[in-house]
Amino acid sequence: MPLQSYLALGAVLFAIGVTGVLTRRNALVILMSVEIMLNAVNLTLVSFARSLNSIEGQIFVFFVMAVAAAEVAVGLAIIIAIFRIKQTVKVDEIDSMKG
Amino acid sequence: MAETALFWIFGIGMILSACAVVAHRNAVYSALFLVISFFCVSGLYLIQGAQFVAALQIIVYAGAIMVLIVFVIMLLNLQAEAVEIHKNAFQRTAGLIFGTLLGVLMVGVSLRANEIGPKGEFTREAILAMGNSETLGMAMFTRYVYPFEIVSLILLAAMVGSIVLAKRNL
Repeated sequence: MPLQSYLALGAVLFAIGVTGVLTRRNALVILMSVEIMLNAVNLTLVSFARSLNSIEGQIFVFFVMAVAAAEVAVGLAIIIAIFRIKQTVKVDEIDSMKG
Repeated sequence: MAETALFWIFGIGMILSACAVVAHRNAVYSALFLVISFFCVSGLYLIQGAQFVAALQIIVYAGAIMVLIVFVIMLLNLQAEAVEIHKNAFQRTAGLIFGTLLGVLMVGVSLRANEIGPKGEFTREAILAMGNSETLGMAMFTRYVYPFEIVSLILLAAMVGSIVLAKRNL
């Protein structure tokens, strides 16, 4: 398959992730949509690595996965901490800083 | 021939399960559809000859990150979202429109992409000759050993941070 097909696939996946972040109110589903976006970026990186005959793309994907795992752990800890106080995970109802 | 068929199978599966993640009311179903999507992405990596990254995808994403998310969903005992349209109907429509426009724009850009610039030396045959993991390891531990060690610091920071944030009493 040509490079453009893989890039288009990654682009569609990224757009789906963006829609999820903008549309949903559940903080966990927003976190899952961010993971979808990261996967789209990984797919683009691997496609370019294959097309440009490089291994650096795959190394970059390795680092993106490690950072994504760290980010999910911290994000979930934040969600748990907020849930303990507010008893909700809906981002609409976490508005203590609202002017 | 087989690559084209597998590309379409994994690609359509990935897109459809990602749509289900975003659209479903119940967070548990979203998490399970996300696992399916991760498996399809891993299949796409395998088609392109990135076996190490494909295995890492299943181990790290489907095996660790999704397990964490499912645990937290169960821990918080979330109920399925009721469809409260009247509250954020505007946000929902605006988000959908913007997401669609962004998708159309990015697909349009990526379909016109051309690979310019010098090609590296790691052709598919060269990588296959030495093995994908071996090639990645050779590059990682010679040229990119510095970021590799920094990633271990990132993981340490994430570990300490998540324990401190989620503890009941410090």
